[in-house]
Amino acid sequence: MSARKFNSLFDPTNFFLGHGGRKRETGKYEYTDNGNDESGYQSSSYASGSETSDAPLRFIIIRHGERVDVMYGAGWTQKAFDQTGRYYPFDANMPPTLAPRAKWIDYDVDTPLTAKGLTQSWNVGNVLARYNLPVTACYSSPAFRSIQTADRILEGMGRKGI
Amino acid sequence: MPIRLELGLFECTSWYARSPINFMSDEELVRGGYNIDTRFRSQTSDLRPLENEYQYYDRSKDAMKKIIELHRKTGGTVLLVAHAPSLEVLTRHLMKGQPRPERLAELSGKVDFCSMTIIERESPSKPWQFRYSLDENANRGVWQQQQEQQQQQPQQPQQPSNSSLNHPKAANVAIPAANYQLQPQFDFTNYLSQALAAPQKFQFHFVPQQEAYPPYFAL
Repeated sequence: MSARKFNSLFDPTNFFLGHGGRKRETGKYEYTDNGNDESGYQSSSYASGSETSDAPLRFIIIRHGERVDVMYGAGWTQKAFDQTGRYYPFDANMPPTLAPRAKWIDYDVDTPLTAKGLTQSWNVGNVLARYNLPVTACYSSPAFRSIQTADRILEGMGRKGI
Repeated sequence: MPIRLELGLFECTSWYARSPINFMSDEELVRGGYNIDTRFRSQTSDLRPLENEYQYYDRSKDAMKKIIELHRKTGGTVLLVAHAPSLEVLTRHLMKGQPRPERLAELSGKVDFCSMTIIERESPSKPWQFRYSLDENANRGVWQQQQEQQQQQPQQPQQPSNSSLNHPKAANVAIPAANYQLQPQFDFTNYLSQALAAPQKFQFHFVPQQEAYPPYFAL
């Protein structure tokens, strides 16, 4: 793969050319858009604490769960997807379904979690809730394995939808 | 709670030099059932391709500063889901440590899946502190005691289950994959009584600070 491809991935000019989806939109361009909304992202809309100078802040920094490529090796997508891009798990520890994406081959580098990884993540959320550590905001790396982990942690906390 | 996608939490880009990564779009994720905060704009605008480990520390520090600023006034508990080195690179500067790019791969290589570090401060004027117990009450008095223990026996974890670090696959193979589907809806009182009544099948063990690597909780 060329450096040019890698560049185009992160190049913010894609944003203006309207190539949907191969990048994450940027922060600095959006600050002006939010000019009328001071309460927006400058202070979290999720936090429940009052705005005093004594605001305890805590970060839970977590690695994603077990990843498919570590279990089944590079090139696992060749076995798991057919010509039409339909996904067929070939082992019980593979995720039962996968979200459709523009090119399924991208799952090779941007790997999903295994079934065990999904369960691990749910259990983490469940344990954190049990220790009275419900989260007030959630950030994830744009890597799919991290997004899936975040999703399952929130679900295990009972906070996915709320 | 919607998930905010933050580019600055991604791993060192030079580790992906051979096979660049195409992230999924918001649209694909939303269609796939993920609750993404599509109003949020990543605080890090773009990633430098082929950044080295030192630059990775630097970029992570900046990303962390921006996230802290977003939550400085309101406080709360913020979940950051990222990668093995994130436990180090997102906290190193908060603990007044210097980057150590040459050791990053080695140190973070020990961090197993779903391991987590908790770092907190009482107020913006107080220093950051690692958490040494998941139990808040136990944590207050215990962390100092553990630091003393640590100086005497640097290799000893709080619970003698360090073996799962050496055999990561053995940690929780006993949990059936379908387990989460059978669990009842989350209910706090429900789980409190469960936790008291039944031994917990799923538990973190504490991995103390070694070579100034952040202490963390592992499965």
